[in-house]
Amino acid sequence: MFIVTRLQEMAHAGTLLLGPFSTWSAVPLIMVIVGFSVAVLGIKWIVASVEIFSSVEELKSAYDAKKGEMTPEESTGFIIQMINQYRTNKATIRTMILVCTAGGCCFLVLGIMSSIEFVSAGLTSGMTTLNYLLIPSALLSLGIATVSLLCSYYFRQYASVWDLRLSEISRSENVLEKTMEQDSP
Amino acid sequence: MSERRTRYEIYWEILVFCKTPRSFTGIIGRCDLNSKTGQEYLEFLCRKGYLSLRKDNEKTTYAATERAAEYIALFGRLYQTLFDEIPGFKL
Repeated sequence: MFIVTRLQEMAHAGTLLLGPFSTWSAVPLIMVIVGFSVAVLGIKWIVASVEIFSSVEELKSAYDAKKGEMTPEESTGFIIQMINQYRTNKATIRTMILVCTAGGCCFLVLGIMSSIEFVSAGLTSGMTTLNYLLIPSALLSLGIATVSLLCSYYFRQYASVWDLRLSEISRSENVLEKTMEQDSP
Repeated sequence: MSERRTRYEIYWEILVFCKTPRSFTGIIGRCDLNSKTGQEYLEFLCRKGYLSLRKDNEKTTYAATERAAEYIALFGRLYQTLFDEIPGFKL
């Protein structure tokens, strides 16, 4: 919506035809490009999240199906699968933590700005009536900010637990290596 | 797939699969290995005494030895500890 509105505004103002070569008219065009890039990033982020969650869900349902009647080897097999899953998604999860934090902060600032605008609109008018139309946008921004920051927090916790396990695996590898050396015929 | 696993995890997978004698093709197929790396892993495990090579008529199979059972048990204990001692992720 924002992109379309901006393009319409630019077309009316005649700045769209001038393009980025005119000094001040380049700003709205840059905003459109940035907005479009952010939208593409957002879609990519959603797709990446879905992929990660569906792979986790797939493994979880396979585990639940066998729960209670698993041999020790099957149980260890599931552990290896989970570890491999984290190793595969590690880079994506790191990116998601950063994106969620950055996005959360941006929406928090936007929400705070909308809230301030809502109050100042009332103060500058010198009247007791407030601009209630700004409340939904402020609440929406603050809501998205909260969800983004919570996502970032939980992803960080998830990653820290798995990183700890990966570091323990490195120690286990030393034990296994020593055992294999001792076992040499 | 194989890049995501450590070589000890691959050893474990091969040894568990070879509890019953298996052919080379069966092992590399099940453990998702290419023939070159699969051969290297199998040669290593045979050299260390974790796998024994059996030749019945024209068919060659690999079978896990008693030493392999010790490795599998140790590996299982170490990996189970990751979930028993490290607190899990909870929402």
